Amino acid sequence: MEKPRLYDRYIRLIGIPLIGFLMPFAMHPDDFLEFGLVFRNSVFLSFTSTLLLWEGDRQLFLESRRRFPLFSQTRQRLIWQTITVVLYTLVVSVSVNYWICGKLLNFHEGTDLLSDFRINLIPTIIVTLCYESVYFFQSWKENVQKAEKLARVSLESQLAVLKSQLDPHFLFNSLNTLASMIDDNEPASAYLEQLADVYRYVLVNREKNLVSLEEEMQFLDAYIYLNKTRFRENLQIEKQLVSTAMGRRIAPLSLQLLVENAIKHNVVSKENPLIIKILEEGPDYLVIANNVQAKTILRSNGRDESTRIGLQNLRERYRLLTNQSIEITSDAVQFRVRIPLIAA
Amino acid sequence: MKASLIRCVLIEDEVLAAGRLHRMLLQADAHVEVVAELGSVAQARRWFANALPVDLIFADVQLADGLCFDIFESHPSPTPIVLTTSYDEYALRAFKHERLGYLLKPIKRSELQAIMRDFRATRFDSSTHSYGQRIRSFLARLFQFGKDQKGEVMS
Repeated sequence: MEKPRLYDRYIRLIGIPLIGFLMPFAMHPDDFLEFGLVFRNSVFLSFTSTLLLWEGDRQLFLESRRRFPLFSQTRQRLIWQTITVVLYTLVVSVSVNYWICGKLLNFHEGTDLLSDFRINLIPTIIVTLCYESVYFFQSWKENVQKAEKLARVSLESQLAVLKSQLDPHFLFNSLNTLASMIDDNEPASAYLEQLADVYRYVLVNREKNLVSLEEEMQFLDAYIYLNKTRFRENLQIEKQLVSTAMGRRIAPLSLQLLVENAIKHNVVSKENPLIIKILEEGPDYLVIANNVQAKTILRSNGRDESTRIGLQNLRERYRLLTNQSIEITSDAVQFRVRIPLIAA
Repeated sequence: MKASLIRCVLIEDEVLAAGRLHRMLLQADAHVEVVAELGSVAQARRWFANALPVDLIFADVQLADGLCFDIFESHPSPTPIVLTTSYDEYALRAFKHERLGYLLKPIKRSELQAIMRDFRATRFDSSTHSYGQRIRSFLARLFQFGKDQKGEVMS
């Protein structure tokens, strides 16, 4: 592990003499005025104690950081610090009292060991609190920054995944590459062109509120082409539209949704071909109707839900676009949706 | 009357796509010669620095080492350009009225044929005096669009 650095040189150079001087001054202000032997001894003792305590507590703090470096270990670190620091202060108090006061100076100012210990706890608490709070806030800041960065990275990667899934460039370039590979296969090339048209229309128009019926019908033709390729004559589309209707407007992808639903819900087979009719009803409505030959398996596998949401969505879009609503009628033989044609 | 030869350059970074466009061009117009297939901005710059003028340029918008607009900025020429694009540059639809404009990928035979017919009709018709003017305004807008695009695409 990297050796912890504290950047506390200046604060130590100033703090140790300052506390060493201020402690006796605060305790014996009268002696200070005399500047006698008692005061000088007091300052010397106080300075020595402060130096020993500060440096020792600092080492203990570094050791506690080495043992419990994590922000989540703050509780253990604090407990460990409290115990060792109090013990150390006791040792320093006893030693200073015995060696320096007793043997070296032969100086007894009439205080007992307990009050020395209590006084010595003051610089200890200040020093330990300072170091620990700086460290605590640093770790806390790092923790917050780390969490923020993590959230951002995760968001970015999600976005990147989303983008790569949806990148239209990739899609159309790939389709173009595929087109070069199947160049001599006429039906495959034609199918690919229609597929590209379908996707391009969806991508370009999905955000729009309205498109002309003509545009939507061109797109629907491409979509039907793709489905006819799969289902052949089992899927039959009958269109009866007059040219004047083509200039009117509808919600994009609404016809496609209805055709898709019809195919999804009904049996499309040689015996039971699905017939979808797209016709005008008066100048103001378009009707999409199909014969009902429901797939029995459908209701159990959840696709019914998506269809319901799709229809609900279409109804909601028309409610917001116009004051007319779509009309759904359904019986045993026919499913029929009528959507309003909006004037250009 | 025998149709005159149209000399084309293809700028396309995908080998398969370039090959396909080459084949489709020869099918679309019997009198087309593809004089060069260029795969990058750098290669195209080198080629245009020494080459004789051509009649028509087909250029993919996004190349591996930049946008095709970079080439036309460093080597301005009055040669008409047909942009081949996949999707983002859908805004290029705006250039449609300049007649010589863009092809969407995957490129359709019918659309390429329409472009070539269009080109023959206007390019060799000396009575359309506005032709040069049209090309110049097209290129001016192209460069402007290229700058706008670079701001978005490259940033």
